Amino acid sequence: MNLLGLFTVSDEQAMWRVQMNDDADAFALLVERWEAPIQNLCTRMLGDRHRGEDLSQEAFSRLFARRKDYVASGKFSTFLWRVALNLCYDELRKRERRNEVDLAEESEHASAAVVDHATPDLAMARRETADLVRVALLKLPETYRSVLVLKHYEGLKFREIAEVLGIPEGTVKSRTAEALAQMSRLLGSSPDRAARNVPEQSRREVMAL
Amino acid sequence: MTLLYGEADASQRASLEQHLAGCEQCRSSVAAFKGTMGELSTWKLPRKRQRQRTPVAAWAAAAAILALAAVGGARLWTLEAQVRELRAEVARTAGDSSIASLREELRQVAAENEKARASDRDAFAGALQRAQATAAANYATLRKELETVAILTEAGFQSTQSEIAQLASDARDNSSTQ
Repeated sequence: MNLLGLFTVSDEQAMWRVQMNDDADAFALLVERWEAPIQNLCTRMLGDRHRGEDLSQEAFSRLFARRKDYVASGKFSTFLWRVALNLCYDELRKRERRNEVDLAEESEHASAAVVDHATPDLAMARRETADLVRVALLKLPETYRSVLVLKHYEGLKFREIAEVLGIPEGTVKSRTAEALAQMSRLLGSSPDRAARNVPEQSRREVMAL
Repeated sequence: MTLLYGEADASQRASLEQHLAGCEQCRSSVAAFKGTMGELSTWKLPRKRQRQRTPVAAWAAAAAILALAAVGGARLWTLEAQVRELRAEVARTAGDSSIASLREELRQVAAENEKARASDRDAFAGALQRAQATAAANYATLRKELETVAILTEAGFQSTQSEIAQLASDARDNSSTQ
């Protein structure tokens, strides 16, 4: 597939070709565009980079295997986020049954991979914080975790998240607020962070912010 | 949340900022939220696809295997269902002189089966060719895997076809005992 294709073919057009013609080039284009964000979603939902990559691969395989089921009424990405998120939920279910939650938190391999160009000290401090974030995110209930990851890390609009999850936009906003509040409490265990805990406030006020 | 995540429009922003000017509780909430958001942002991951792991060719190929297995499975199930129906039909119509039309149905099922398999093979071959152009090494492993799948699917079809053949001869037997 030529380079021009990367810029001129929309996701929806590419998916159409995959669906109608089993077009491997169009599929490759979609993988090229979406593999990183999907990997990142899975990595943050599971707290584990390797598992995140595995699940991402499964998500794309599933996308191709179920291409006939794709209905082109919404955005392609909405469909893909949903496929990936469902796989994450399934994986989290499996872990619960096997009581693997603690393993994920402690595993050396799972420590937060950080992309950083700062000075060594700053980079070290960031890596430590990043790993605290990784562990804290795992403690967040899944319904809050998914909203926070989609909003804060993947930058989806509130409306897009609402479509992915099939819930009202207002619910997305209140879950985001609640997720942030819980994260601040989870991260605020060290004394110098305590001052930055989000104060208790009425939900409606907080949501509006 | 709309303000914090940059989704407030001009008028919403104006009214929220006006509120914040007069409300200390909200101001400290915003400050706390921003602090947490900053901490969250320390966990960065690459935004662009990195070319270390599986090349795309292996993807399309792996997914295509899945697809073929799924399709093969679906067609097998349809054929088995048809075979069951025909078997029931034969039992009901033992002695019926419309055995000829039953044979015709059996022939049609077998023909449909053949057509379906052929078009699946073509679709898959097309996707595979393009994948091959990109990564020859992966193709070799893939080829072996595909052959395994093809053999398994083939075995499945063959057993169904022999059931159809058996059914046809049952039908013949029934008609000859009249």
